[in-house]
Amino acid sequence: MMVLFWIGASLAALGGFFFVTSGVGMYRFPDFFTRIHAAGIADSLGALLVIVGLSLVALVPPEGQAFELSQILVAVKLNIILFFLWVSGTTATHALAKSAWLANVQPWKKGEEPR
Amino acid sequence: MMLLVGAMAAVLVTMILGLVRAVRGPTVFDRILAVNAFGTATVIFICLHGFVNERPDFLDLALVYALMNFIGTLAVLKYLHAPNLGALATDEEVDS
Repeated sequence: MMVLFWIGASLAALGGFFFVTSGVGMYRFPDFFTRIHAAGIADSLGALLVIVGLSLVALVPPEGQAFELSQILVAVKLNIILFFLWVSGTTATHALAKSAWLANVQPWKKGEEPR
Repeated sequence: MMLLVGAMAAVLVTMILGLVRAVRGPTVFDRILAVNAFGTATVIFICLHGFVNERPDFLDLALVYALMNFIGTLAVLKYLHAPNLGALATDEEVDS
């Protein structure tokens, strides 16, 4: 049972790694449309790994106590948050890219100065 | 437990990088994107913090914050896309 805790915690740490890559990508990428991709990584993959890891951690009963039903509720709430993050992340980035495109923000081409 | 605290530190690094992008971002859309990414990082940070300090009721805060973050981003975009919030700006109107 304790191994479940370690699997969950390591998944959460891996999700943290993808959050850092998303942050570095948002800082270093040359133009707006590439930075949207970097931000999307945190929304989808980072959040997925962290929340799946946390729901594994939630399903492990604390030492010496029996498994309570309320732990399932915690895991279900986490998955609801994940579902909503996935739906809202993609929609918001789509709306953002569309209004940026309509406000004619020009994409970056190779060899140009980073915008 | 240390791994969860490590994940929290990683999320904090993303928040700081997002703020740097918000300050430096040339176009206004970079700033909206940075605020959106900061909001998602906050949601995950609240979840992790709730787990590290044994407070499972933080998950409701995280869910509400995710909802508000999404609505906030769309509201600012709607304002930029169609300045008069009343009329539904069709794509032809905006392109002209």
